[in-house]
Amino acid sequence: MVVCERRVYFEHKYGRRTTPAQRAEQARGIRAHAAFHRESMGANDRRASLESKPWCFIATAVFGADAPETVGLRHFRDRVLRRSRAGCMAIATYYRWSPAVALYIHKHPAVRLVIAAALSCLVQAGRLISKVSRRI
Amino acid sequence: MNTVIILGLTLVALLVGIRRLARRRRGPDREFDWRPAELRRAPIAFSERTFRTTVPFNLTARLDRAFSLAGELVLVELKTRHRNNAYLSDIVELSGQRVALQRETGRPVRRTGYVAVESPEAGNRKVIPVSLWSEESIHALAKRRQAILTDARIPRATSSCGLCVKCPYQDVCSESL
Repeated sequence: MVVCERRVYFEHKYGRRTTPAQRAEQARGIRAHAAFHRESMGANDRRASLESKPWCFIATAVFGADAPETVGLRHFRDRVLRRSRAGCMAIATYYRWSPAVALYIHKHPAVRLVIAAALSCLVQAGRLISKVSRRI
Repeated sequence: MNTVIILGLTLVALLVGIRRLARRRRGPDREFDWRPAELRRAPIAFSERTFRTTVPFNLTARLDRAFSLAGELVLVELKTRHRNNAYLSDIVELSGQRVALQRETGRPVRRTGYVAVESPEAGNRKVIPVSLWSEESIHALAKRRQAILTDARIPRATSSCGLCVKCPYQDVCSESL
């Protein structure tokens, strides 16, 4: 209507007409919208995953729940590991064994330093992979 | 020499691994990358839904996406085009969606919406914030449309030569170039 009032009038009077180029554009738009809609289906679940599954047992036991290292590992889990089958298996294995490891760390504070050093390296590696993968 | 070869192969394997991870990431994560900062963590309230209202006039609008943000809904309209531009027609479309959504759900819809322009070649998206029209302005436009369709007003021609050249009604339009 704001583009061309005459066109709105002609559409009403003579019926809708389209050129082959416009039909191609419409088909392209329909495909893009379908993809856009598909993306939205999983988006809320993944957002909920980021917020409602914040546990990283070992990192929380070593650094604390809201420490940057814990947040970084959580980010690495959701943005990198969760994208592949191998990554999902690694996450499942981690959740299976990490509560026991976290309990052990809690009981033996000396182990905490070793785990903290190892996890710090992992956090740096995770950051590097995330950064590099964003650039590629 | 062997050490150099092994190191080289390891490096290549590492780069291939990183590249694969990046490709996997690019697919699903595309959803979050294009979003404006304020919507990055906002939940999607509606996607590809039609809303209708009969008050203050008959209006049906299909919206592409509405996000919940601080008690309000924020509209996003997807467009596939070569130029990263938002046009007046996009603003009118979003404003119509705002009226229909607000009337049907009773929830407030923000006066600022977004046009997400997707490049047909690269597939990347750019978001452009736009200020939406008021309900009164949309009502006035609907009234004018009705007046044109019932021959009570003379329809104006577009001032854009580009649109005229592509128009399928050139044969019946006295204003066509």
